[in-house]
Amino acid sequence: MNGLCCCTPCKPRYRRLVDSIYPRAVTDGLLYSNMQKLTFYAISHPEKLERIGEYLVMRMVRDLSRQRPVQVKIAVEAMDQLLQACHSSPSLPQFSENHLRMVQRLLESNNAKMEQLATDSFVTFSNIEESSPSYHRQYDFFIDKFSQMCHANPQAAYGDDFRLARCAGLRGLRGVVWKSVTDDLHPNIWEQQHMDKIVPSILFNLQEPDDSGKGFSSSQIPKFDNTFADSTQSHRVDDEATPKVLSDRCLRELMGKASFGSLRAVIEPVLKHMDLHKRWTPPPSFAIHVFRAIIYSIQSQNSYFVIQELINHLDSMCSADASTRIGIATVLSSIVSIAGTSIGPLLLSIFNSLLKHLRTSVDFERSGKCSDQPAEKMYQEALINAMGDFANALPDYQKVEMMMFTVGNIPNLDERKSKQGDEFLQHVLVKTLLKVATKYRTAYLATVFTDSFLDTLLLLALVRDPQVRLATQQIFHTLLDRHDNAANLVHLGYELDVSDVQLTVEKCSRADQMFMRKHIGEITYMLLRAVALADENDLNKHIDAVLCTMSLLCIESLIELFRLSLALQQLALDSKQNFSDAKRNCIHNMVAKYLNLSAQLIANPSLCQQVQHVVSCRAQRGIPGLNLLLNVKDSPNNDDPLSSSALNSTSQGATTITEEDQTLLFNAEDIAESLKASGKDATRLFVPFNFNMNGRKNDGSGDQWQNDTPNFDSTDGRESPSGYKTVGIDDVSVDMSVDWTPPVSRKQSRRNTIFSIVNPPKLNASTVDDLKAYANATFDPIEEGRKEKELTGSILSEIRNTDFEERVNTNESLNEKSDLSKSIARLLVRNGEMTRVRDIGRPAKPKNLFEIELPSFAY
Amino acid sequence: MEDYKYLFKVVLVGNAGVGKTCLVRKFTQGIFPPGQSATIGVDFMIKTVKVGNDKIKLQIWDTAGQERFRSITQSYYRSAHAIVLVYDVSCQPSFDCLPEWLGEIESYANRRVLKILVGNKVDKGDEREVPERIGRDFSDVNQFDYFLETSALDATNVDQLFEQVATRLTNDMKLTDERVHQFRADATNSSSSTGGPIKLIDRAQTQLNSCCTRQS
Repeated sequence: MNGLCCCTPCKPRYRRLVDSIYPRAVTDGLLYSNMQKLTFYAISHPEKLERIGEYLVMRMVRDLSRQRPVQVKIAVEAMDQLLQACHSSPSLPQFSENHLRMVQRLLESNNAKMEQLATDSFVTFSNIEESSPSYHRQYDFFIDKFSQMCHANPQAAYGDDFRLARCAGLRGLRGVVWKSVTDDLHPNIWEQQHMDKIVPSILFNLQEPDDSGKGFSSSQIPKFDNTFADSTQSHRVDDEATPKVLSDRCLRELMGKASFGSLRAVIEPVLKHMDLHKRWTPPPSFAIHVFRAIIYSIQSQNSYFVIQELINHLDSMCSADASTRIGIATVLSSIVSIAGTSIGPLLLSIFNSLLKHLRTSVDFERSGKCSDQPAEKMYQEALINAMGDFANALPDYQKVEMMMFTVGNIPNLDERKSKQGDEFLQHVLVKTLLKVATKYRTAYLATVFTDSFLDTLLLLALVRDPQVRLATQQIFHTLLDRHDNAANLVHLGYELDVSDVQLTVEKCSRADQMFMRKHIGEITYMLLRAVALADENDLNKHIDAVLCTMSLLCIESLIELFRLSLALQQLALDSKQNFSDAKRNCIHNMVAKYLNLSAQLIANPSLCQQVQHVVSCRAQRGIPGLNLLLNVKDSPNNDDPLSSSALNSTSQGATTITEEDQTLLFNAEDIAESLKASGKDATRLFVPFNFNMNGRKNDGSGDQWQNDTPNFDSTDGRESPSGYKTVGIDDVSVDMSVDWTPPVSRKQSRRNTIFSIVNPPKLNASTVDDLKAYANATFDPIEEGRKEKELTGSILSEIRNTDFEERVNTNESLNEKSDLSKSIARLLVRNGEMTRVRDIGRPAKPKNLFEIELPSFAY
Repeated sequence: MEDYKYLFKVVLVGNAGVGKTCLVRKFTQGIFPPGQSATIGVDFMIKTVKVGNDKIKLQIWDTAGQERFRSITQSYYRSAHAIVLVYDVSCQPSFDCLPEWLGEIESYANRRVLKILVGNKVDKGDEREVPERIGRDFSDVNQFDYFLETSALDATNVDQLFEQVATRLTNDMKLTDERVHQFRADATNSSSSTGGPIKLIDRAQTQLNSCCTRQS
């Protein structure tokens, strides 16, 4: 091949042209005019391009071994220019083979400068789009070598330039990726073996501390901005001065290019890297940064995959150190919200696996093998947070779904079967539920409180574990509270003026009224029991929680709770209950506070007066722990009626109210009177709660009351629309007698009432517009009450004035109307008559064939 | 136009601090770097040696022994022609870890990779903890292709080690080459008579040869 080299004129033209680009003096650079000639020749003779490349590489290798860097540089420059000029040449593939050989030679030189040169040249090459695919090209060595350069350290050959070498390595890797993803036929860059090198190299540079030497913080990396990424090349080069910034960009680019199929190959090295470099250890800021970058970069429909991978990784790490798991869970919680919207169908499975992990962790902690319980607790906390964040990112209807799902996972509400671990799991799951619930904004009560959900919640509110009970009350708070009132009501004191509490009150919607009608019985019943169960040790918290729920209910929808408060008062008085005086006082205070709040809310002056009267009487009596006024005056912020002094003084004198102190109690009759005066019916106030809890508190197992079917005093759905503030007790019962029959039988008695009086239909709307008008009409309770009274009056007068026989007759005649057989007979008769009438004057019908009597000869 | 006959990838593995980098430096650059710090990720060296009349190019990938770089180092096993497993004769734990390393090689490297066991730092005469016999036994039991004790400090056996690697790889490669040539000759001879089965043999040969990248 080199036979002709000695005499210049004998050389082929391309060789002479190549030789001419080298300067005579070693110090000079490339001769540009000659370079132009060479370029022109190469373009006009594409078939010679390969030879030119070969010759250039040969010269370059020779110069390299003779340590002539200037000549090497010239050769590289010439190659680059040719490459760019001939990017559409048909012989480009062959030329680029030569080019790559040159780059490889430079990379093998173990010389930092040459490597630098090679990388730049390779990046130039990677920017060229080739029209024809390359079948045999191998990038393996480049990936190997660039990855190695990414790990350059000052001790090795690189010296102080190791940062430059790392940047070069990163750029080279990026070039390989660019080149490979555009080339369909190329051996797949996304194979595990390549990604195992590329991804750790990138991550290694991303995690390396900069000159500052501090740990990782994402603030050191300028925000990656897609819009400007390609705007100015020079700007970019400046930007990518440090390996850290560059690696961040490479990572995002790599992730952005990964298709769904190749995601696994990319994510797995990331997870492995985090494991090996112990990057999960809290605070996992680096892992969070990386995964955020990943989630932001990959196509959004794939983000669930990353989450799935993380969860799988958590699966595989389930026996690892708690700190690792905490880290993974933390990362999960910080990225889940970003990916949230695209999760879609896998929502439940992801949520399920999180719950599963939670359960495993609980079991592990319970099993006693766990050496580090606080860490395990933190892990659970992190998981719960992850679920909370997860919920936060979801649309509301999915939050409801998730709450249902969580509730469905709560084990064994039936306490008789519950195991030791279950109780704890209950506790954790209720916490989870609370977390999810706080992210939910209730629009309509009925959408969130479906029957099964509400039932479970009601059961949860009464379980043995006081923590769970408390948490359940909190769930009620957050779900009932639609106007951010909860914060003001959490420690509601005795307010002289309710407007100080700054509540947001809004007329509640019809759907909610319906819902409340249906369920208020169950809810009040639950509240009553919750108070009865309230833990003696943590009394205030529990009582406050219940009070808060009551207040929220009152604000948000109903005031049927008057009845509940009276029942609570009764409960406090009941000497059969094994309550401490402190608890009794606490309940009394709670009732007072609630009545005060609701009385002022419904703007009932006489009721307010009563409440204030009772409270001041209590204050005068000076029973410690009952003096609400004292607290209000002395320390308005001190909502704690049971200060320690009060507890200490329980031994001296009367410590609580007994049944005899009528002035100190809220009188049901009086309250009823006041309510009546403002046009509300208070009859139901006297319907007692069917509440038997004797002895339950003592054994604490609660077996008994789980069995007795709760007699909910469900007010059967009334159709009268009612305004917000008057909803509760405007319950007009047709029965005149206030009886003590249990509600179930009462319902029946009403159904079978002998007064078969046809109620005038309340709603006679025939068109939609009428209905609308009716629905929008402002409700006047007084007017409504008057109407009801009229109706009652007319019924009564009818009964009083007509004598019994007459009523029986009319009843019978009415009943006759509905008697089916009689009606049919009557109809038949009428029908027969009608046919006869119609037939008059008509010719007789032609007879049926069989009826015609044929003459005998016809046979 | 390439100036070498074969190119082989040699990967050095072993616990941190057994002297892998020093071995490579001594071999490629002839220096013993004092106070060498831990390798980060991988390091790369290239050296051309002569085996007989053939120029052989050795790409030497010197991996980090530290646990945290395990993922990147493992990825280099796959394409290696030879793996040199190094332990420190004056450090029993580095020897105890050998089975672990073997497991890694087993799971990540090519099945037919040339495995070489090296006990380094024999210059530390008194501090020796692993007798030569133990190392040799281990290499025999675990089917290493070659066992050697070296010292990067006083250059004992360093060149010999890499020469052995090059020679063995070259011989293997030549053997394969010959076989391929023979098969190919057979194939061309018989292809005139029968067409079908030849192609299968051909394919088998290429598969046979595929693991050893021949650069020429």
